[in-house]
Amino acid sequence: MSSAVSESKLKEYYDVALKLVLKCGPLMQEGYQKAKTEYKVKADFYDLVTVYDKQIEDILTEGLVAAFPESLIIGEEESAVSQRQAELTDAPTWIIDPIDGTTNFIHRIPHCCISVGLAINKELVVGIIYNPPANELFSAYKGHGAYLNGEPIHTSKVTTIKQAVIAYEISLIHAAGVRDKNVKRLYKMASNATGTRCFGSAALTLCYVATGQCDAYHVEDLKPWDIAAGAIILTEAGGTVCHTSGSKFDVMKPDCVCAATPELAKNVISLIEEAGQITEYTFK
Amino acid sequence: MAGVSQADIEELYNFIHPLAIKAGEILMEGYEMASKNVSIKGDFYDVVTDYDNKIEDFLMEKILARYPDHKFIGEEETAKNNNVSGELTNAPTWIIDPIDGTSNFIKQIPHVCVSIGLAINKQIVVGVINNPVQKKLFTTKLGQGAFCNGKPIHVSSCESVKDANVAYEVSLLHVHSVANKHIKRIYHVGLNARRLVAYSCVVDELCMVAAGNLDAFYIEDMYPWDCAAGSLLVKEAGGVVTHPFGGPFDIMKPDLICAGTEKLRKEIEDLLRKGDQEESVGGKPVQK
Repeated sequence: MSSAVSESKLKEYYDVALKLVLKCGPLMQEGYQKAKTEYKVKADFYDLVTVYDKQIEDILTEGLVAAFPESLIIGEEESAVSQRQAELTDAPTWIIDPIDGTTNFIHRIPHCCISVGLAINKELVVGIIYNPPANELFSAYKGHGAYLNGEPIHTSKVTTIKQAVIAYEISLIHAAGVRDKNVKRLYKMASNATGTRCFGSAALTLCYVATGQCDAYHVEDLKPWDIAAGAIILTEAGGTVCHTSGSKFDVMKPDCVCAATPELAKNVISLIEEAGQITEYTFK
Repeated sequence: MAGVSQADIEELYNFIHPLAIKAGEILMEGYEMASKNVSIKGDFYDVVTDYDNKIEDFLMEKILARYPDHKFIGEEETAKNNNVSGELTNAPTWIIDPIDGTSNFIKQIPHVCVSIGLAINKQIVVGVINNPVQKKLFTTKLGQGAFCNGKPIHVSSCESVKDANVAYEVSLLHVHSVANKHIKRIYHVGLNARRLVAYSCVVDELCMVAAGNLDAFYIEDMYPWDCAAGSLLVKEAGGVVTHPFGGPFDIMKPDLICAGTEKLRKEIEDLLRKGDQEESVGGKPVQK
């Protein structure tokens, strides 16, 4: 199908998803408060999943499919169980991370959230990210702005890296296959930025750029569900989301540069290109 | 001077506790303002705000009214005042950071703390840290445990860096004179640690180690007020706090590794040493 979604249908998608996400809040908070949470290790040892991850995803997927039988699901747990590579079609597709920041969740660091994004005709149109421990509910749908707990949010006006507080996933240094590029890029970005943070949740970090708490964020090698909802929230807040090369962002291979302004995004891309020129790990 | 008694510690703690709560209220007032009057001092990213000064003035005034002979070591005080000391003596000395995480404060990133430590005979005996955005009040007295909102807190039992969540202040890469040292260390700690985080609030990171939210934290080139109260909190929560290369922690030059266990602390120390032996990241050892 290729028909455009109507405004009222878009609003319905948003309202139903919002209600379901809020419904999961008490369950997530229950898990967060437990002294010890049952968990097992999958894929990489630091990518933890908990029983709450599964329970929350079940509530979301059952609720969304019941309300919108024509829609499809791409979710972290569903993807882990089915072992198949997800594919995005034109059908309305919910892209779900039941708990983003599971390590924070387990250690009771208040940077963890439920993330639900919706793509139609391969375009992101709804994003909802809920952090119950910090009482933060970020939401957006196409053309209607971005909100935190019902209040409008907007990116900062920072245009240069020297003024910017950046976020970077320094934990990626742990992964051998992507270590080299991340050390070089971290060095280039952190040595030029006014400050660097790492929160351990991609979804929330995108929201912190949307609110202007951070000014830029670069990350690669994550999954669609890590980025989908945050990307639409950030663009509805006035920010820029593009591929690391500067080309169009692809949610299914979400290597991205996210920034408060297009000028800042260009600054970040230039630094990443400079990082790529570093040889033999010598820094000066 | 005579040794400090438990009764003295209790009195001083009971005095400062409500003031730390009030200081947190002043901080929140500033945190929630849409715009702030920001001036720049020293390096361009080390900013001070009206509220930094307001909180410090409030605390100093209250302390001096009750204890006129007490001394201060604090971020703003070092710029102005008769009771300010450039060195730590045996006199009761308040070591205060009115807002730790000022760059977070300006951006409303929720890692901001008021930190109040008290040293007597050069030993920290009381620590009160208020993170009002997260509604957490950390308290500790020498020999009497560590608490958050009145409940006991304890460090994690993690003994291996491969399982550890470690905080490392990567913003230090912005300081060019130490950038090369830190990128090498970040490489080795990051390669081995399960996860790295960076919040740009030393006091909060110390509290998170004390509470077991983080397993370890390494930092250098900070000031006494960044680490005074938090270092006692970590120790009273059962953790270890040492100089990065294993010697005693020195409050006046507070380079430190703190961790839930000595075993983990040692592993991080070894990784820092390994980083320092490299000429560059992944490069050959320095010829010495």
